[in-house]
Amino acid sequence: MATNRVQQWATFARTWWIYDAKWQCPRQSAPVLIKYLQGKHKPIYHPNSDIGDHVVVINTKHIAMEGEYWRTWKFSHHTGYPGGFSQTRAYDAHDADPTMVMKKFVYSSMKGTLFRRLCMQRLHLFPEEELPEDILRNVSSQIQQVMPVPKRLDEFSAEERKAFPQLFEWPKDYIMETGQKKSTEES
Amino acid sequence: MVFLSLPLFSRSKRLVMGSNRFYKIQQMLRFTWHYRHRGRNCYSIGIRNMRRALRYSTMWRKLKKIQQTELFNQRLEAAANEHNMNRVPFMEGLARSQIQLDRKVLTDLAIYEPRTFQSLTDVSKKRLSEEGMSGMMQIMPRKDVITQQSLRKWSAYYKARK
Repeated sequence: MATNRVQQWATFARTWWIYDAKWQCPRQSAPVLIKYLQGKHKPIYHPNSDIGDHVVVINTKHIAMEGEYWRTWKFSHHTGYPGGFSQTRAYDAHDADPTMVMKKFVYSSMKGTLFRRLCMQRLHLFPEEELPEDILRNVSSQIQQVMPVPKRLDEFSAEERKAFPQLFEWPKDYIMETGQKKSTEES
Repeated sequence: MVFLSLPLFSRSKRLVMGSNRFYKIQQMLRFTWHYRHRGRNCYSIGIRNMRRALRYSTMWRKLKKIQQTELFNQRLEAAANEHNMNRVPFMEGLARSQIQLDRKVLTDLAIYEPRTFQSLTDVSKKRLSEEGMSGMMQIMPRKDVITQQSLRKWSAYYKARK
């Protein structure tokens, strides 16, 4: 058949996926991303064949870590020389390079085979929403986010907040201790 | 000594000294002629290499099947995910609709005949929903898929009308 040749091109072509990392946990996103980087989402997958896709991750600056992990999660490094061991906290690494935390999690969640470096070359990380034109042109599919993005209270308009159903009203003489600083207008 | 045949006569130790060792080495070389270094020439090294190779081949006779099954599972998971299904419910739906295809045939279909595989997922989805297991799927099945159970239901319905 004349179309078999073209079908084969289409089968082995590399797709470009985009992933919006806004308010997403990097620990939970990494196993999803490596599935596409290694080609495990294709029925022709084989561990020895290099058939992974490209993944473009945007908004890596706005990722969300669970619990206390910004403070307690540490990335270890050893230079190879005596006394060359060092550890960096996640927030320090994030300050130095906003794409670093995502990159480290994706790298460490892959098996240490020779294909790991090749897969990492196909991962394109961007701290904000802006993308270069030549990369954006290739993108054809989107990876579903691992967690829903909640809407913050200050993103709702005043009308929406007013229309929200209220079960009861606080008594006027009830003093609420929120633990927050009082604004200057009240004092 | 009585030699009933010519080959036995020729192998007799008394006639040709050391001939037994010669045949032993020949038997080893049948396994080790393609090895590298001294394993192909020296008997004491070659026999060790040969025994290790035989041990590995015994071990891998079992491991090969396990690896192959893992690869089939991986591919089927990917193929089923393309149609919003997971592998386990998909296989369950096929088994319940009496479609006796194994993992190898299903992966071959997924690679070389994707439309056939898609219709298999449709049948599986329909069957699962009939069994009340549609919670295992992410989307509802197509309505134009006919299974054995729906045929039986219709025939019972038309018989009752008559």
